[in-house]
Amino acid sequence: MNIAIALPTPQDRPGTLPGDLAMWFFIFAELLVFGVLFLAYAFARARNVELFDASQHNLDRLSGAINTALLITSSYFVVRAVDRIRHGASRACAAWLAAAMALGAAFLALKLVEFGGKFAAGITMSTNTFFMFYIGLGFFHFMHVVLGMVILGYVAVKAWQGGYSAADHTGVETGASYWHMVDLVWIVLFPLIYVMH
Amino acid sequence: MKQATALWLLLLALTALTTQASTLAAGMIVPLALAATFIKGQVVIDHFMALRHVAGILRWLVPAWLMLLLGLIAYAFTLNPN
Repeated sequence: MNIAIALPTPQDRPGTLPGDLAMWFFIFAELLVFGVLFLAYAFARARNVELFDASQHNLDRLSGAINTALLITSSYFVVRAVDRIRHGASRACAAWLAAAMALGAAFLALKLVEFGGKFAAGITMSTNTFFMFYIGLGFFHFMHVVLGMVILGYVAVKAWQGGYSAADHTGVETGASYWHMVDLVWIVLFPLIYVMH
Repeated sequence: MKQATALWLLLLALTALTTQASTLAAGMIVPLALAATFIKGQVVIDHFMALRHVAGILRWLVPAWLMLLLGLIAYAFTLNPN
């Protein structure tokens, strides 16, 4: 395996955002929404620290950590996919994207197991304010992972069919940017909900 | 080049550190978790999202979001309900 991969640098368009500008405005909007929800959690906790800390003890921190590793690794695979298409290797690009999607699917499966365990224990969004945020934020992010996989799937199929090239791969960069946003949001969500008390 | 692989391993190591932070003394958990999160977020923003080469205000929107968000979270965790 060649590890001499290049980090994404849109060298053909220096100084510009990688991918489609419209996707970046969507990403900025998504980050704003997640930011408001994260701050709502943090300030709601400040008004009821004991409840939030006691409820947090019911979470499976290892499951959250594994999911973090899965998303980080999938983001790394997407970096490799972008590197491959920059070298004109569209089939290799598609393969890396498929590997990233497989890790995304593992994330979703683990999240479903985690949620299933909580529901089986009688915990729902109406149990208390902490679990309203835990389930609400978790499900909201879950849906973003699903959308990210749909985007990566479309890009992977098009790459496999030769729809991108070293000179024209804006679509790959656009899909990659969205997937990294999903990863970035989870990087904040994990310590906030699972760790900090 | 090997930089992407090295950064991926750094992100995994910081994730392990964040997870273990919960076992530390109460006053250490939040600063350590937030510091690790800031570094991880900045790595993803600069290197995976490739914003480090972008010119103008669009280069700073996402890092500003991360810094403001983590700063306000840090402030919220210092608030005492009593």
